[in-house]
Order: sequence, then C-alpha cells, then structure tokens
Amino acid sequence: MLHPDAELKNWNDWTDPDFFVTTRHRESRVVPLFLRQILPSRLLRTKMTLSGWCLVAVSLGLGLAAYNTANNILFLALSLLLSSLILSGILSLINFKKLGWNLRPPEHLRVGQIDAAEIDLSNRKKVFPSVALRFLLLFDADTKEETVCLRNTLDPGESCKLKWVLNPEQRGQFKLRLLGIQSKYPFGFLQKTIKIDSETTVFVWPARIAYTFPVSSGGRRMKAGATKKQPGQGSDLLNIRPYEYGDAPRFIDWKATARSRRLMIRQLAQEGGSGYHLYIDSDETRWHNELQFEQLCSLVCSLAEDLFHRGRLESVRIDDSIDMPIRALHELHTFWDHMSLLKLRREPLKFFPGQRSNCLTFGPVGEDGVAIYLEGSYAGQTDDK
Amino acid sequence: MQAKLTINELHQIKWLIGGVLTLISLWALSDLDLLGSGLNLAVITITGIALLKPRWVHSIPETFWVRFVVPLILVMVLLDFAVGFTSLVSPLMRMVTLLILYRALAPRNRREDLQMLLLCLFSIIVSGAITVSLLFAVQILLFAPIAMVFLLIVCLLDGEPESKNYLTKWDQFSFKKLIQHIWYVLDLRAFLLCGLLFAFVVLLSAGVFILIPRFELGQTIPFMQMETKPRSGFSDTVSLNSVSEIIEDQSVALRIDVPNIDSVSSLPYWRILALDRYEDGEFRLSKELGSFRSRRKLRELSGWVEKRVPLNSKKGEQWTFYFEGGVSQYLPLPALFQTIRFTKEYEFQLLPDLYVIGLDSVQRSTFSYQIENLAWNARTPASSRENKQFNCYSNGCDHVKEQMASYPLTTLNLGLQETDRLLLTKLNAKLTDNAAVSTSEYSERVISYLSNNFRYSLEPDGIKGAGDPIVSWLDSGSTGHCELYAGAFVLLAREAGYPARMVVGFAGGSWNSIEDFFVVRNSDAHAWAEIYDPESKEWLRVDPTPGNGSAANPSVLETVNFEFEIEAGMWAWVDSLRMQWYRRIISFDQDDQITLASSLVDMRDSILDTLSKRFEELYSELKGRVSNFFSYKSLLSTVLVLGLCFGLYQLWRILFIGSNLFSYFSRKPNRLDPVRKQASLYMDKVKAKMNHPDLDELHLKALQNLHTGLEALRFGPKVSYRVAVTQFKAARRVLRRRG
Repeated sequence: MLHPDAELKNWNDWTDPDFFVTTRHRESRVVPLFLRQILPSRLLRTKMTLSGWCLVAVSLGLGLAAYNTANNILFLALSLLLSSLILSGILSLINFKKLGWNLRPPEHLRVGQIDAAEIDLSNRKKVFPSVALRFLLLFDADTKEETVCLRNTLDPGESCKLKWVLNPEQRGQFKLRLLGIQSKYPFGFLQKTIKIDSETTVFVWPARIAYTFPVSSGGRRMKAGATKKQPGQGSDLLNIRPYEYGDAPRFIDWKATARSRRLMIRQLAQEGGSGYHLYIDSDETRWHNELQFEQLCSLVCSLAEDLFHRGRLESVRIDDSIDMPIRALHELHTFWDHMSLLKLRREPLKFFPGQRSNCLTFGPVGEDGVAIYLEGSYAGQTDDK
Repeated sequence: MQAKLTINELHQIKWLIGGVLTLISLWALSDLDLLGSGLNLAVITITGIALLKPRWVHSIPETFWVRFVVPLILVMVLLDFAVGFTSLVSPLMRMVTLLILYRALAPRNRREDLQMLLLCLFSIIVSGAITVSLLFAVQILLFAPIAMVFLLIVCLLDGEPESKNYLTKWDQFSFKKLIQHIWYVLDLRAFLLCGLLFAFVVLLSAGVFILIPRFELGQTIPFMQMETKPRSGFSDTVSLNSVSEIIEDQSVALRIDVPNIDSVSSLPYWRILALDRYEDGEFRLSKELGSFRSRRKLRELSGWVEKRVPLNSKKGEQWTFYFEGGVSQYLPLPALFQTIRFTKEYEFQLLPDLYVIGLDSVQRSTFSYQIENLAWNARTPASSRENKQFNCYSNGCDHVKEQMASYPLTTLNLGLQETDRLLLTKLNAKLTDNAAVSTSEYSERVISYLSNNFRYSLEPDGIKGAGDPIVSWLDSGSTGHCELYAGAFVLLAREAGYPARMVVGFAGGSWNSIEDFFVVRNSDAHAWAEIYDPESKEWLRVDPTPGNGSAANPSVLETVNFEFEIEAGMWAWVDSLRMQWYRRIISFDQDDQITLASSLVDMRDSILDTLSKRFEELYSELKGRVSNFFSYKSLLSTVLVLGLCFGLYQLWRILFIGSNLFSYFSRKPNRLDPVRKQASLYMDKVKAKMNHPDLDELHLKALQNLHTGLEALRFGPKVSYRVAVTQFKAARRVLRRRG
C-alpha cells in the first residue's frame, strides 16, 4: 500500500507509464499475479522467520512421513499446518489493508535536546484490527535504522499516534525517512515488509551552551523613554495586527480580539536600550578547528535566543549576506535554520560589511573556546567545559 | 480507545496457555501408556498444579533448573535409551514427555516458547499417528486454536523492546482478577471473528485433506509403529480363565462395516486363533514352521488355496473390519472368505491349516482390512495334509507315531496323566456305550452331557483338584465358563479318538443403529471347539457352552437365527463417531478421491441434464406458443407479458431520468471541490511570495516545493481533506515567514 502522499508526489511525472492513464491499471491476470507472489516487488518483501522455517521443516517432515506411511493422521496434521500458513498469509495481508500513516517531524529539533516525531496511524478497516506493526525509520543524522512499534492493537476505524524519539548529536539539515512497515502478525511465521520511503526534512539547530555575557545590561543604551519606530517590547503602541505563529501570548489584545473575532496582537515600539547586531564570520582561517566552529554556532544561537527574549536583538548577519532583522520568533527560527547549515567559508568575502554600533562579533579563544567582542572589545566568552 | 491488556498480563496469559497446551499434549502421550498410569497421572498432576499455582513454580530459582534439572533429565534420557535401545519410539516419547514437562515448568522466553509448542505438536501428532484414535481429532481441535492464540501473544510480545528478558510478575496474581480483566477487555466482535477464522481454518484443512494428491510410496517408518502386549486369551498360549477375563471388558474390539443388516443372518463366529496342543492345563499353538506356519508380505490374499468359498456365497459383498489395537496379533476372521485386502503391504504369519492370519506383532493402533465374500459355514474343509495324516493315523501307519508331536496329530494328543486319562475314558464309555458313533452324534452327546451336568458361570468350581484342571472340573465341578466347556469337549473328543482343537475369538456382537455397523466388544470373547469329521473330511464347529444355540446338532448350527442387540443412545452415538472417523478419515485414500471426483462430475452432469431439459421444455413451450400465436388465449398472455415488460422499462426510464434531473437541478455549477479551492488560494499566495525580490535561496526552494505540492492538490488526483491538511499547514507555515 502506498501512502496517499506518494501518489501526489509524482503526479506530474510524465515519464511514469501510467501518467496518461486516467485510472490506475490494476493487474487482474492470474499468471502475473501468481508470479508477483513468488517474486514480490521491491516494495513488498516477505521473509521467513525462525518459527516460519520451523513450520516449513515440520510440514516437510510431516509430508514425507505421510507419503511414506499413507497415514491419514499425518495428512490431516499436514493439512492443518498448511491451512494455518494460508490463514497467516491472509491475516498478514489484511493487517496492512486500509492502513493510513503520516510522518510528522518535530516542530523544533536542537542538538542535545530530546524531541519526538510523530507517526499518525489510522486503521480504516471495518472489521479487522491492525496488530503488531513496526515502523522502520531512519534519521540521517544517526544513520542507524530504528523501529517504532505499535504496542497495542489498532481497532477498526481508530487512529493513534506513535512517538519516534530523536536525540540529534549534530546540527544540519537532515531527512527523517519512513522506510517501511513491518509485521509478523499473526503467528510470527512470516515477516512482511512494505517499503514506503517517504521522507521529510528537518533542521537540527545548534546546541544551547553556557557562556558569559551581560545580555541585559551590556551595550550602548538610548535615553530612557526614547522609542524607535520599529516593533519591540516598549510601552508605546505601534500597531494592532493579526496573530502570527510565534507571537508571545502576553501581547494578545483581548479587546481587539473580541471585536474582530480573531486573535490580534499589540505591536509595541522598541524602547530603552539599543539592541545588538550579531555578525558571524565563518572564515576558515579564523577558526582553529571544527569543534571551535561548532562552539561558535552554538554560542551564536544561544546568545541570539537570550537577546531575543530580552528584546535586545536587532538583526543578524552571516558573512557578506544582507542583514536579517529579527522581530518575531519565526525570524529567529529562520536564522537558526541558516545556522544549522553554516559551514566554514573558504572563499573571501565579496564585500566587507560596515561597522555598526552594538555589533557583536566573535573570535577564537584558547583551544576551542569562542570569545564575544562588542564593537571590537572583549565582552564575554563560552564557558569552559 | 478500548482498554488493553498490560505486558505483564500478556506474559501471564502466555504462561497459562503454555500450561494448557502441555496438558493437552500429556493427555495425548498418556494414550501411548509409556510411563505407566501412575507416572502419567503424576506428570499431569504436576503440570496442573503449576498451572493453578504459577507463583509456586516461579518462586523456584532459575539456577535450580539449569544446574539440577537439566543434568538429571540428560542422565535419565541417556539411561532410558541405553536400557531400551531395541525400541526407539518408547524412549523417544519418554524423552519428549520429560522435555515438555521441563519446558512447562522452567522459565520461558520466546525461543523456549516455540520449542515447547513444537514438542507439544510433535507429541500429539505422533500419538495420533500411532493410536489412530478419534481422540486425536479432539486433541488437535483443542490444541490448534489455543496454539494460535499462544503464537499471537508471542508475536505481540515480540514487538515489545523490553520483553526479551522480561520477568513476569506473579506477586499480585489472581485468576479472578485476570479473568475479570480479560472479560473487561474482550471484544465480543473480535471473539466471534476468531471463532469464524478458526472455522475457516478447519474447513480449509478439510479441503486440503481431501484434495491433497496421494500416491503411495509403500514404505513404512519403523518408529511410527508401536507394539504392545496382546490380551492373554488371544495369544499363542491360552491358560485357563484368560478368555473369561476378557469377557468382563465392555470396550469395543472390532467394528465391522457390513453390506447390510441382513448379511449377518446367523450367530457370527470370528475366529482369532485355533490352538492344537494341550499341555499343563494350557492350550497352545504349535511352534513348528514350514507349511504349517509361514511368513509372507501381503497386500491381498485370495482365500485359502484349498478352501475356497462356495460359489453360492459369492455375492460380491465387501466387509470392512476395524480391529482395535492391543487385542491380538491374529486377526478375527470368518473361516472362509474369497479375498482379504489390506491398506498396504504388511508382513503376516499365515497358518492355513488353522484358517489364521496374524500380524508380525500386536499393533497399538487400529488395524483395518477388507474381506470380499465370506461364508458362515459351521463346517470348514480340512487340508489335504490333515486328511492324509488323520487317514494314516486311523490306519495305524508306523511313521505317524514319529509325527505325533507335530500338527495335525497334536489335535489327538491329550497331554494328560494316566489317572486323568482313565477318568476321561470312563466318561466316554458312559457317553458312547463303547459303540462307534459318528462325529456329529458324538458331539451331540457330549454337548448334551455338559449342558445337563454343568451350569454356565464366570466363577467355576472344581478346577483346583490335584490333577488336570479341566478333568478335575469334569469330575467334580458344577459350574464353568466357555473355556472349560470347550476344553472339556476337546479332551473328551481326543480321548475318544476324534481330532479336536480349541478355537478362541469372538461370538456374536451388536448392531449400532445410528451408523449401521456391527460392533464386537471384548465381552463377546469366546472359546469353542472344532472336531474333525473323517467322513466329510471337514472340521465341525462345536460350541458346547450353553446359550449359544449349541444344543442343536452342530451340522445344522449355521441355520440358527441370531438376534442382534441393537445399540442406541449416547455411547452408541460416540461409537458411531469413531466409525465415521475410521470410514471417512482413516480409510480415506486415492480411490475415495476418485470416487469423490466422479461423484462431483456426476453431480455436474445431472445439473446440466436438468438445465438442458428445462431449456428444452421452455423451447417447446415457446414453440407451441409461436405456432398457436393467433389463438385468443395465447395472444392475451403475450400482450400481458409484453405490457408488463414495457411497463417495467418505462418505470426504469422514469427513475433514471428522474435521478438525472434531480442531480441536474441540485448541482451547483460553480462549486469546486473545497480541497482544490483551498489549494488554489494558497497557490496564488505562494506565487506572489515567490516573486518577492529579496528571497534567499533556502526560502525560495521551500516555496517551490510547496508550490509543487499545492499544484498536485489543485490539479492532481482527488484526495481527502485529511491528506491535504498537512500540505495546507506547511503552506501556512512557509507563508508566515517574512523576507
């Protein structure tokens, strides 16, 4: 059985022989169907288990004994074993019928933090439950195949969620792959596997690390009460806008929400101190080793997170790219997506970004530490491990 | 979501089901009687206790099983094989019993569970194959569904990561709680479904059993045959009272599929063995070999060479015998028959002079054979060897004295002390008045004497005298059983110079009215005599025991009418099930397959015939109608039929047009599938966002992917909202991003 999405995935692939066929061709000829059972396709594998081999051996022994002795008791036992094998095959086939699944990646995935992807599983059969299912999964970062089991039976018409616990150890963009579904149901004679190979991409953000830097108090400050015409966390109201994913609930304007019957957010003007601008230089010659570079990525993300929550993050810039203003949480997440992909830069910069006030830059310190510089002056660093 | 059983409960159920499977297999093994009834009971009791009190068994430390029980079993098995090396099957099955018991009691994981299941299955099948009993059907029908549930639980637990070395907790276990929880969790629909599936398996098995191709290789597997001891009354040596002991046993010894109830017209005598020699108060069969006793491999025997069935008895009737195991190695047979057939080639002992066929050993399982045309004669022809020897003896040939120790002259040998002989001489003189009488006349007189002076009883008196017990009984007894009557007749006849021999077997039987077959029980065991008639050169059957119609002249005995005891009721029904089992299952072979196939072909032909006749009738009717079309009646009926057809057509048309009109008026031309509509909206937004100049590569790629997905929803195959919603969510997420 293919996932419904799989059909959609290649819907416009005109190289598919069935592309111009309005209805999918279903094989109904006996011989090809029979051959398909003997030589199953790449997507369907049936493997004999130990108990299956035992059953075959017992059946062979029984058959030999039956034909040698013409003893009908042995023929009877042989018939029962063969019938059990047929029943096993039928139930195994039914077990996968009308089964729907969908792999949902976790919202956020960060190095060193445990999170879980979810498999939405639904049994659309009318009579038969689905039992003893194992999902074969692969997380690119681990390169180790994992299995998630359906612990209980899934009754007809019911659905459930299975958790796939992920504990990534490196940042980057990875694929969560659902390789197939496996089951030994009902008697464990056969292990049937349906290959699916559906995948979804996730970003693993750099780890959160400890550092020393006065996030709240450092940097230049504007005069008290002065506000800027950019959104921030001051007291002056700039605008009321609809709610967006990532907005803090404390900014919800309940009166406006009630009036417009949708969640509305108060957008306040930035006030108080100036925010920081982070500049990340990934020059290969600057960083001693990969570990130190990883420390840089982790430090930048941790610092950006803390600054954002204190309303002191203005923008970020990576090498010679344009400034990325960070005004909402999803912008911070987009920045982290970039950070998860950041690599040591070998080429020289196309242009050198100009110096800004309250600009935080980073440089190596010690063997694998990273120092924070505020407008060129040392301001903090990563904690020693 | 319905409540489910916990992992621990599943492990507990698995353990308990394992115990039940063990009990069933031990029950099957007890049919083989390998350990003796006491030990069998002990083994079953131990398993039963383990099943009822699982906490006790689980409190035994694992090291006890590994360090003490395993070596003990190993030693026991090796010793058993060393002592009983001549027979493979008995020590093998004893080993299997021990292993099953060990697996039932010792802690089990998945591998051990499967081992236990295989051992149980092996024991049930081997026991069934050896005993060929109906109990096998009961046991396998109990075993199969329980084993399936067991395997299902093993399969469910196999998926659990922690179940590999799981230690089942029994501290809080109680049957009441477990049953209550199972009852709470049990879905009646699932239960019914399981029942239906099992019924499907049984039907499928029946189908496979019938259709499986059969070709006989004619081999035997030696270890599949188990010997046992015969009944003491039906062995080569029959001591006094041994036949009478069998009479007290009411179990079935022989079932006979007879052509019809009228085929058994007189009291049937099923001869098992004729005993020619008398020594030390015991009747024996001579040990000599050669023409008297030979061994041959046979599949079919066409009567005895010199003793063909008279032509008037050849009615083409088939009699199928199902002889229970453990009775005798010799087959119960009528004296004369045309052909005897066996299911395959066996090695037999043939004693043609005695009309006896014996197997190589006493079978534990039921043995079946078929006889074509049998005769109920009380007189059976003697062989030429017998006639020659008896003729020589009566003429006083010299070389006869040298052959007195071998058959047939052993039938004249008394083997008594002089005092006992004198007593018999005295009695014979009294019976014959020292005059020469014919064999029939002599037999009649002896029978008359015995019935006038003795009463039938299973507790005889007067046999514990100083001399020979039979002579002693004749001298001082007053009550006796068939062996004493027959033995006394034989000894008296021999003393009077008539060759005579003792015959043991069954006399009579009953009729099972449920399945219509003849039943002979062990209680029908009987002993009678055969006396040689030199005039007709035949052996006369003489049954001196009172109550068996023997008061009449033996020469006309065969005409005595016999009234069956008709069996009905529950036990008769159970017995009829056994007969069905033998008829339909055990005796099912390639011929039956062919018969079944031909009956199916016949059925098809008859259906086709019926159909073609029906069509012919219809055709002729139609032809008649057409030829008489212009008659008023025909015209009226035709118009009515045509009118009805037209009316039906119009009704269908109205319905069809009506439904089309309904859908036409109820349609909303501008309405689009909500999924496509939503996808279209998102596509516009995504397109607009893709034209944004400041888009970075990553974002653009995400938007392109999203657009492809939305295109699929908008223009691709129709999908449900549930499938599309993930794509819509992704679209919202990507569209929220700025820049």
